[in-house]
Amino acid sequence: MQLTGEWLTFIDGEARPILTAEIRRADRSWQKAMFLIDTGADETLLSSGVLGDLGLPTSTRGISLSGAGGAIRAANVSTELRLRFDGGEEKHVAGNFAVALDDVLEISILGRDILSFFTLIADKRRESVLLLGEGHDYRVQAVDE
Amino acid sequence: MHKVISPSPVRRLLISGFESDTDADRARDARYARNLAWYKAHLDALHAHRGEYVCIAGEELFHARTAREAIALAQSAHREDDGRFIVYVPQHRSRYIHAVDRGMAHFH
Repeated sequence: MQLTGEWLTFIDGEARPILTAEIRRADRSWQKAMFLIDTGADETLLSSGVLGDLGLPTSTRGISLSGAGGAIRAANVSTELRLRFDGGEEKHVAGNFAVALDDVLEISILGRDILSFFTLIADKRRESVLLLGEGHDYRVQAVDE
Repeated sequence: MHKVISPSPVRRLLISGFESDTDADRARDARYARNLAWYKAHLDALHAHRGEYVCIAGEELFHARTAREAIALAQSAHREDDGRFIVYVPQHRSRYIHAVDRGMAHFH
C-alpha cells in the first residue's frame, strides 16, 4: 500500500513534505487535514485550526508545551486519524492526540508515533513524498548519471 | 524551542482492515483536491491575512481571527463542501526547526 503526499510551498516560500489525512469529528464525519511530515517529532501534534473544526472536547491533563517564545497552551483530544492509501486501503490510528491551543502551527504535524508504522520517502529532488505499507517497498541502486 | 511533555510515552494502535472507499469519500476527495489546487494557485493571497486563520471551501478563501469563525464563514457559504480545510497564516515569517525530543521547535 502506498499513500502519496507532496512537497507543498508554504507562505514563506519554503516547500515542505506533507500528507493529507482525515480526523474523526464529534459527529463521526471525517475532516480533511494537511500534516507536515516531521521525523524529528516524537508525536503527532494537531493544529489549533484543526481543533476548531472537530467539535471534540479537550483535556489539558498531563500535557504542556513550552519553548523559547514562552509557554504554549496545549491539550489532549481523543479522536481517530484515517490514512487512506492509493487503491482504497485504510489505516486508522486512534488515541489521545496532542493539540496546540495557541496560534503556532500553520498545519498539523505527523510525528514518529505514526510514521514509524510505515516506510517514508521524502525526496525533494524527485518531488516525491510516499508513505509505504505492506505490499510496497523500495530499492536503492547505483545509476550512471 | 517548544517541547511536548507528557507523563507517558506515546503509544499508538494501528488498526487495519478498513476499505470503505465510498462514493462519499471519493466526492470529498475531489472537493478537497479542488480546494487544495485553488489554495496553491492563490498562495500570495494569504499575505493579506497574516495572524488569521483561513478556511478554503468551494474554492474560496474565508478568513477570521479564530479558526471557528473562519470555519463558520466557510460553512455558511458552502455547507455542502466537506473537502474544506483550514490553515493558520503566521504573523511573521518563521523558521521551522524540529526537535528530537517529543515535539517541535518553531523559531521566529
